[in-house]
Amino acid sequence: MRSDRGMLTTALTGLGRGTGLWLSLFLIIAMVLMPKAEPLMRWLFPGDPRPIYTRASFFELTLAHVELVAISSFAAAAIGIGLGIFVTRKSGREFAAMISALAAIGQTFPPVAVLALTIPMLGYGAAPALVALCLYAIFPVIEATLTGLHAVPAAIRESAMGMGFSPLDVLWLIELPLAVPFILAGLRNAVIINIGTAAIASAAGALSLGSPIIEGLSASNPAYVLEGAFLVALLAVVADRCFASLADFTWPGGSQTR
Amino acid sequence: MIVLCNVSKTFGATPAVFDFSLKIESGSFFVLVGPSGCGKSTVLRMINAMIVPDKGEIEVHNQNIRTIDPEKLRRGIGYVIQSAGLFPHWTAADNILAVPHLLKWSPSQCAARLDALVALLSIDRALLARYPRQLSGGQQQRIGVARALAADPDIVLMDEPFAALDPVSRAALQDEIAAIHARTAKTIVFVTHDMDEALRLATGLAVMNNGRLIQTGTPAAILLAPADDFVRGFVGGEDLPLRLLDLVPVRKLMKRGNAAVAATIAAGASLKEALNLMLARRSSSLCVVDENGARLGVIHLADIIARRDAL
Repeated sequence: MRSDRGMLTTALTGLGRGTGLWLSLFLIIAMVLMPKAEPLMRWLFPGDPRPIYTRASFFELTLAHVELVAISSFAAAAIGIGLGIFVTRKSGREFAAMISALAAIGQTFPPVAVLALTIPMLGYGAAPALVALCLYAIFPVIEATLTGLHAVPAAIRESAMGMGFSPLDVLWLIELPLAVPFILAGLRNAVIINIGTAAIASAAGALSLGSPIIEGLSASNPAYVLEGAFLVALLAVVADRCFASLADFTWPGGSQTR
Repeated sequence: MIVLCNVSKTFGATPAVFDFSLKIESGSFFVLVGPSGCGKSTVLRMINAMIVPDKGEIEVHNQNIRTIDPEKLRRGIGYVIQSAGLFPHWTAADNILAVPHLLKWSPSQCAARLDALVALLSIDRALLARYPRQLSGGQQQRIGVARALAADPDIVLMDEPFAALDPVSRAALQDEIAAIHARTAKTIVFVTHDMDEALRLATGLAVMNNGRLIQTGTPAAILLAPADDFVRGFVGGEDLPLRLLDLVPVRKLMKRGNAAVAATIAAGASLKEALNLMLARRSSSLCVVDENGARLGVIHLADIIARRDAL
């Protein structure tokens, strides 16, 4: 009885750990099979003459979408973590309030408005979308970095300094490793938000999973909207699960204390 | 040797330490006592340059610490704080070896030092692979003390290290650190507000109040002649005579001869222990024995009452 339950728990945990992998597989199958879903779409949207988006393959769209999110999130992570570290150092402390405020403004500024402002400067295509997405993702990363760095107990910093750790040692060996779970959580938020927001990149002419959505909206073809939205949602879930498994791997000694 | 010369430090508008001068001899177990907020921790943290004084100079081993790189200074001084401050993402072994790692010791040097520290502080080897959250408060502080001793510093600073521990762990660690001091002749500067702890450990004592040094000397000298009412109150008030008994070993008041009593006490025990035993046995004299139980002489209640001759 006991061992039965143990086996069940192990199996369920394994499945939970594995969902990221299973969902990724599901995403690939969905991309490949989407063009074959014509009968389903015809049934869902009767009277639609061309219910499957064909201007670009779904694989191409997803790849472009992932690329937009990856580049903008990576830039946001570098800027956000960098600024978070800067304003918690002695030399940058006075900028803390200003940076927080700027990041908050970046977050509340609608991405469409950023597109409208950047397109005249950067032209149509992926560039204005990358700027908008990056601005949008910086705020959660800065907030998470600050939360993580502030969560390091003063006594730990104090004992490290007292033992002769240099400020850089304290940052690299103590503060950042302890802040990783927080930063990862912020990055997870930023990436998920960006996966959703990247769909509007197509409004600036960039290729993404937003392309079928926007074309579907303008041409009154709800099938296109459904196809794009379904893959965007699936991509977001896959990313979320990947971050969840990543979080399990970090910080073996302390993950359960927080 | 540590010398503080006319040191002052003000935080904002509140003076924390005022015109403080003190000389701590090498090899002493020096305890700074005083009520909370009297500036004793500030004094301690100025010795390893965690706090830089506004005025005055501090010398460690005849070198003004303003002329030493603070990180280099600190790597040569052990430091223990109340909450241990272990790094939660490092195992106990990695925590102990923090400073050797900073100093880039070789793996074999580190392993040898770890073995020595484990033996010195009687640390259970099974604890070494654990993370701090998997250790009790007493075990954490034992690791914290090992960490402070890891690079074998001449000086160890301890800021109320045992204040948060249960009485059993506290007593065990007090014995341990006293034994280590006796064996290694390190200079230990120890901050506490607990007078019993101070008397138990100190070879030298400084009493502080309101950021000033009120009195310094051996524990016995301070107990026998408190400089003022504050010191008298702080070091014991009405319990002062009993505390004095704690400082004197039975050996000092022992007389030759034989007593017709069965109760025995070790020559190294304190007069307070002797008095306790007399009260328990309802006897006004005890036989004094050595470690092997051989009779050395006798101690009488009347001599304890007249104890001043012994100090």
